[in-house]
Amino acid sequence: MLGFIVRRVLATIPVMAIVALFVFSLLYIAPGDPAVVIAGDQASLEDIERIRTGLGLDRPFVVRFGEWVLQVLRGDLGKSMFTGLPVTELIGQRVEPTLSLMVVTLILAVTVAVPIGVIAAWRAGGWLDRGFMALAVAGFSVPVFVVGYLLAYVFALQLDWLPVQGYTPIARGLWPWLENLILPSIALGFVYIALIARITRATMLEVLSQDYIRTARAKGMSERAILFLHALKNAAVPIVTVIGIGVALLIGGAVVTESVFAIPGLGRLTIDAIVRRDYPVIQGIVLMFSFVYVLVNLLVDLIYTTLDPRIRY
Amino acid sequence: MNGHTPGAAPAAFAIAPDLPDILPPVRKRGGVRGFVWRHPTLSIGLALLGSMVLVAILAPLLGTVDPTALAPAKRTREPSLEFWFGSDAYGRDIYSRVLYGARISLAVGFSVAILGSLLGLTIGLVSGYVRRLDGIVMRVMDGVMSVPPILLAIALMALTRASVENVIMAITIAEFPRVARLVRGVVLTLREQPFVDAAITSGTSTPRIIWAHILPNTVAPLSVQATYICGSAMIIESILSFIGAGTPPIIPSWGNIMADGRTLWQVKPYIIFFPAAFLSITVLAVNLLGDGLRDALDPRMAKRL
Repeated sequence: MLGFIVRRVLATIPVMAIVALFVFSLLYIAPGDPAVVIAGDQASLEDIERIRTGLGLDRPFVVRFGEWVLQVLRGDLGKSMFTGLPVTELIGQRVEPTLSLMVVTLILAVTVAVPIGVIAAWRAGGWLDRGFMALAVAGFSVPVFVVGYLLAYVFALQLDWLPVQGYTPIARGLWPWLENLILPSIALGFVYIALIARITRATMLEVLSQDYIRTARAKGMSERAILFLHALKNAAVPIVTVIGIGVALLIGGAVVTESVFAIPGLGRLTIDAIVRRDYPVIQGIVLMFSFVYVLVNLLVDLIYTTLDPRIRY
Repeated sequence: MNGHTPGAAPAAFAIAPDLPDILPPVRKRGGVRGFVWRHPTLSIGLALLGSMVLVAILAPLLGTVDPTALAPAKRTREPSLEFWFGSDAYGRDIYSRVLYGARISLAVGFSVAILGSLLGLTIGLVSGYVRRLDGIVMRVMDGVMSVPPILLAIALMALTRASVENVIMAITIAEFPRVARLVRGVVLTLREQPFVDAAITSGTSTPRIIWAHILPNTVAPLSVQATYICGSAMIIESILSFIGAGTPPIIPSWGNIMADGRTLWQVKPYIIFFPAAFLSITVLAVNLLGDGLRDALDPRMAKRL
């Protein structure tokens, strides 16, 4: 078991190395010479050359990549070209709204999608199943910001049940915080729910055709116990896998959702950075999100062994 | 042993049960109607997508005006006889913009689907067939796939000039590793199949095995995957344009029209509504097509998903 954990953690290192190389190349090939930017308009060619040597920009790619990796490992993602603030500080300021949005969405999606998938599989072929699966296809087809505007228009503008836009930090109370996150979470969770519900249904269908389910029915177990105790437990591994993979959807969707609901999170930071072509910030955000994504999927792999003791490594 | 005529013949010589004179005919419909009957999802998807392609091609003939023509005096008009879908903050006709926008969305969707499939197919074939390269190639694919696709496309777009070609490139790079993964998986299972062993034993050359035995078997999963990529590419394109990292603002793509309506959406929701509806219907059409293809090509999957 411990051996497996160690091996699995070590296996993420090459993947992270490739991500790092990729992200570094992004900045390396980015248009615009930082030395020229720093030197300003009045600088002579010699000045620019001096600054370039001073910054170490004249050294080979491999050397600079190595130094950058060491720097990142120390927790330094460089400075914003626009504000001059450290990228880690900028990310730190914006992390709460995005994290809140993603966590609320994750909880919402799993609590809604898994029962939907279980019921759809239980009533496979029936109208409930058809209805849910039609909704799932819609979930894959309607972009997150369209759902967002639709929800905001109906529930905030027309019905006035929830705030239209904005974000309230959790420090100002649980309800004000949650109130602002309900619509964005539903919008962001729509695709995610569709994805999880579909996989849950597919896996449950497979499990429900097994002999031990027939045995459970034969011995008179209640349907609910069969579905949620026996079947769901055996269907857990693919479901957890897709929850982990789907986090990529959450990360990408969060950028857009924040823009629709005017949430001052990492998405806003990303969009501002794109408009200003602030490459160190873009690089930092991509690196951080990729790291989170790899970490989540590492966690998922480690959870397998507890969910399914048959899995031995 | 339950003979129809007890006592008439020994059980061992049981006569076959009498069949009715006329068997109920197997209902086999031919032509278009039969196709629609057998593949309803596929047909709906095809019909919707087909009409959207027609709209895109025939956009100039469908009562549109120049989608980029400004009319400052006629800003933000509600939908009316003059402006069927209303006009935007610059007085541009949204109906014309949405119809011309179909061209951009479909072009991006189809291009990414084709380019991504070809790239993924090549890499997947090489990786699945050349064992020495497999480890390295798949680690690189894992690395690219570790960056969430939308974020990767955003980052790539930040590096280049805004143009339709660059949007296609960026989304292709974000999407092709999934195809490579899929093809490699198919190749690895196919390699163990007896008919491939037979081909190797009878001295068939490796390129010939790939061409004649492996490639045809990747077509089915690949075409299903390509439709999903097409849908996903159209969504990513609209997101990129919506947040200002996609096609240049002057081009009437659905994402750009929605981005133009963003500041006004609380008072003029129709600016966003029409492109959003067209986008959703088009992606829905592509996804239905994909689901229908999957069911038609792999009936076993159809029962499960």
